Amino acid sequence: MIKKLTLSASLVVLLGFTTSGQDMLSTIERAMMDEMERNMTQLRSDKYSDPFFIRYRIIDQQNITVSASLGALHNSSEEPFRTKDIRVMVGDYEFNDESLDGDGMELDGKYPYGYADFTMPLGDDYYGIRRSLWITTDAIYKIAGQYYKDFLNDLEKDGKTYEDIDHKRFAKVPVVEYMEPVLKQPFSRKKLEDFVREASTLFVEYPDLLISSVRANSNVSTEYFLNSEGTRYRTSTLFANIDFTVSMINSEGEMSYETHNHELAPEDSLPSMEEVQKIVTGLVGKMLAKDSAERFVDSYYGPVLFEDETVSRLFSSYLINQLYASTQLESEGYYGGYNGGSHAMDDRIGQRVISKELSVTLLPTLTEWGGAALSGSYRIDSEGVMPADTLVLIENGILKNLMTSRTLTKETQVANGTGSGPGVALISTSEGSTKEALRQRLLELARKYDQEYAIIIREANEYGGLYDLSVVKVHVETGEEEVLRGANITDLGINNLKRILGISSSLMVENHGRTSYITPDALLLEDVGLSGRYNPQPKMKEALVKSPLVKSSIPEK
Amino acid sequence: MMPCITQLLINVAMSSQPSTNSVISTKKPKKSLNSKPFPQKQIDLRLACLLVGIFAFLSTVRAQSNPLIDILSKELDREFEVLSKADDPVYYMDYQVMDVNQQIIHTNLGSLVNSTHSRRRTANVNIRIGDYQRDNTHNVNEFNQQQFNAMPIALETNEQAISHMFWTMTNIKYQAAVEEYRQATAREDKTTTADFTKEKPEVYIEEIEEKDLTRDTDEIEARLKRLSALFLQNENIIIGEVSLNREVKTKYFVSTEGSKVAHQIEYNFLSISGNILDSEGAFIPLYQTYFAYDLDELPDEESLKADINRLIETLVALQSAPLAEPYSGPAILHPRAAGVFFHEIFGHRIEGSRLSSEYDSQTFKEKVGESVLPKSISVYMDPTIKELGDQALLGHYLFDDEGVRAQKVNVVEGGILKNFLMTRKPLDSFVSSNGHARTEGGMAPVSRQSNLIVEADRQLSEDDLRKQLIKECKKQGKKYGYYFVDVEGGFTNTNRFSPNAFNIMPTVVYKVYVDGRPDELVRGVDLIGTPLSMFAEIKAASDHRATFNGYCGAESGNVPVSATAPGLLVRRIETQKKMRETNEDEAPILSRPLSGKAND
Repeated sequence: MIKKLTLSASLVVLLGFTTSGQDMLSTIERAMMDEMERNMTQLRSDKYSDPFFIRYRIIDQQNITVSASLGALHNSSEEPFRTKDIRVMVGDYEFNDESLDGDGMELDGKYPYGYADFTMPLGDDYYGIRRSLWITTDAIYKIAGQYYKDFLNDLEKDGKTYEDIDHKRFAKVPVVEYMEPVLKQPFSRKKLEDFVREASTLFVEYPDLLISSVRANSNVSTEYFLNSEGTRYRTSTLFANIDFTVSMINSEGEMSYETHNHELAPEDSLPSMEEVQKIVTGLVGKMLAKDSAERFVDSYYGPVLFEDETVSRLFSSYLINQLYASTQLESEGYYGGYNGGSHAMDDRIGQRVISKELSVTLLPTLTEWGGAALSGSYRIDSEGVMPADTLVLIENGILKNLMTSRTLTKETQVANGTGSGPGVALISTSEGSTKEALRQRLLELARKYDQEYAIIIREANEYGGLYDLSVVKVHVETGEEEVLRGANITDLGINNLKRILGISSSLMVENHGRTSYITPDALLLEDVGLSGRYNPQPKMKEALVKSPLVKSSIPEK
Repeated sequence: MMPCITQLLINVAMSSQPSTNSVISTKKPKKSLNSKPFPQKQIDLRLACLLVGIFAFLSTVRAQSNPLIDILSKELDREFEVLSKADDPVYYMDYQVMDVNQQIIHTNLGSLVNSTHSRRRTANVNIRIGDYQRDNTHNVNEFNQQQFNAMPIALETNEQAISHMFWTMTNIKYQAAVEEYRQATAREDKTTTADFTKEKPEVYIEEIEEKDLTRDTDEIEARLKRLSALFLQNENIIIGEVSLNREVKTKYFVSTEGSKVAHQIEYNFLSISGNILDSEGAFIPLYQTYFAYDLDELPDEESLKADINRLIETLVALQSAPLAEPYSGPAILHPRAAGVFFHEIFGHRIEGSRLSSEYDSQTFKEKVGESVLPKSISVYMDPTIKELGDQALLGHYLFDDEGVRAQKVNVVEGGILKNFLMTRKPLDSFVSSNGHARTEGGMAPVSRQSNLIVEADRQLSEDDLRKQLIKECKKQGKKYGYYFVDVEGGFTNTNRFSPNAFNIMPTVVYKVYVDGRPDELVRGVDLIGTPLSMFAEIKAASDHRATFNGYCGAESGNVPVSATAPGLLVRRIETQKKMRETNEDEAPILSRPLSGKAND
């Protein structure tokens, strides 16, 4: 769902809902606290050092998924399930069982193999929840204890201390409490079933579609967190969406697909059938238009104007995902072998990494922008660290900060509550232009480079990716636009963002699941490579028998 | 081609505890007047008897028609009308729907850890171009037809939605079949065996019941929680599970030959399993499962409590039982173990589809009419029977997945090999199907086992069998023989690329000493061997037989099977040490929280 807005004069950061820990503890929280207390005080072994940190996360999900095709349900499920995520650390904040990398040491997941797990029980089952936490805490503690013991033994053998070697530290962070009320499912299963049934009947008007379906999902996820430092939180989020999918055999004999994702904010109701009709018409129209388009067969290298949703996809793929502080050690691990830690960005703090016209600011606690709900908004990350309302990552092209978890690999790093991701990312510009002006600039550049045409990319593919794209060829002489399909970006990277030829001052919002982007609605880059997509799909012919939805096609008996 | 490794497994707890998968079912349903029956119907025994009678009557009632069959037939006719006259004419088509209504409830140590209900319908389309002698499947081994392209279809019997999906699938399948036929006819081939047998069309339409499996969910959950809480009485039990898996499977089949079949089977599995740590930190698992076609026929709560207590006692005994060393010598296989033994080492080698594969070792392909087992032994496969005595047989069905009526197959008579398990793909002189084409769904059906039944002419009592064991041990100079009382499953390999060994996984094994000492419970061994040498070693059979119900996993997925056999005395078996799942450490450091208490 894309909502276009105009840039506000200043950022408005809304404070989210926060309470103290005065509310009633749920059974889950009581079980977590009691088992935490028992393990922190009594989990001791002659073989291992004591645990210095334990963290419990329990995620309680209520999920409804329904789908229908041509007026009939295909699937309907409503299932509660709970998962647990336990971290036990041995040693101390400076040096612990997670401090070293090495071959075969998957320290992020110290889950043991071959132990008798106890799946997290459903319902208000105090004893069952404690038993589930108990058995896994025990198993992870033994692994952590063994790792830590091995580290110390090996260092001693080498006549070293941890101070002599590159190692990871565990960040100390403030103890916080943050409790949100538990959300309830906003939709009943029956309501969603009725909706998808009715919505899917609208596709009956298109008998030649191979497949059409409407799928609705409503997921309420409540996360309970407690660590041995005293931090606890409870967050409750709703993720609801409706997917419309169609498929047909296109004129080249390929199966082509088109989807439309309609996200629902907590206060949203289901769309009316009038709205659904527009979505259906638009979706089928889009697929037919794509089918009638010629295939992109050229090899193009030149200026490209990215518009609308493709701008946020571009920043997401080529910039934001590189702005994490490395959690891997940069040097070869103490145990040799694996060295996965690229510290390219860590080492560039203070340097210009993209065009000086661009700034990247995280606004994780912001819940809406100009009336558009931001699905990425959060108040506390999955390590129990509260982010600041505003975190500048890049200011006028200069890298200022990185998203940093509690696993620190450099002295300069500070955990900043972004270990779970950016949440809400604002990409803004100091000097903006209009979309039309950028289009003119694109054509000027193409002329300058003696190109017959230039390229505009307006839509991501049906999966939200920047491959197998429909692109717009703009003819330099006439200014005419021609839609072509099947183009792939072959040459584009973060360095393209260093030299931006133009950027729109008009901002738009796009939610990509649990991350929201507020970005300019157009961006002009130079030297982007595109080529035709290789397509190995088997070719299909039109069906010899007409669709049964074409009533006249049913032979008289 | 994927290796032909088969396993006898039950996936009772598949959704939440995949590690708890190999279980056995030999308990006969128990009734008690003194406690509530397990199932949903809280009724007195007289009424229960009456309802059983009514159900037995209803289950044989045949409906004149079925709405889904009508939709499938209509669309099939419409398609065949055109495709049979196309440039590449279709000579045979069938449409199939598999409707699975499933409930899984899983409890552990008094806690509910999973409770789900799902309903899914998948559709398959088969298209054959050419004729029965030579068609598009020619030289495509059934085992290579892994991509059967099953697609989900509407749960509701909505004509436009269902017929449209079959139209879509038919179009895709027809175009693929055209290409296959071109390739098949382009190759020079002197094979005279036909590609598809001609079979009598079947019309059998049952009254299909829309069963609400969720009706008594709360009560069943509470009962399973109470039962699994019994495991809390022992501090060293890490896992103590009680699970119920209910499945109502309805299959619909229509073909252009005129077959119309709709039939429904309900499966109810209850499993109990416990996991205790031994002194070296290795897990010792024990399982017991119960199978019934009606929920009412599962054991009542009191019986299950007694069984759980017995299972706990055995676990405790196993905890301190000595680890057995590798052994070669005489042994008795309890009937359940013997059933698994026959399923693995014999049953998989008489599956016709396997024998037609050039990659298979084809152990028995050329041995029809020859002696393959001791002459006192006969083996038959009979999917038509639901029960043997008072034991429900899991491998029952009325029609196979090619729409062919299930048939009893006398495989071995007096030790002489007579027949194979056949699909509609002929094998040399075996040119008819005997209704053993089976698939879990989503994969091409191949010949698979159903209810395997082993019979022996000369039978000894349990005591005499034991005396024979001791006599044989003395003859071989052994201090003891083995008695394999219970097994969790097994697997075998039938291809040519690796040794054709089998492996049976026992859970309860005793050493039987020749000097009269009491039998000694041991642990940590698997029963291994190669098939032909093992057959020659069967010396005697007991007069008592029992059934192993389980799921067999092979090329066409997991299918329900049973194996019934007498106990067997084998002159020489071989064991190897079992792979042990260790915790790399001893028991949990802290005690289980609030031991003995089920919940708030």
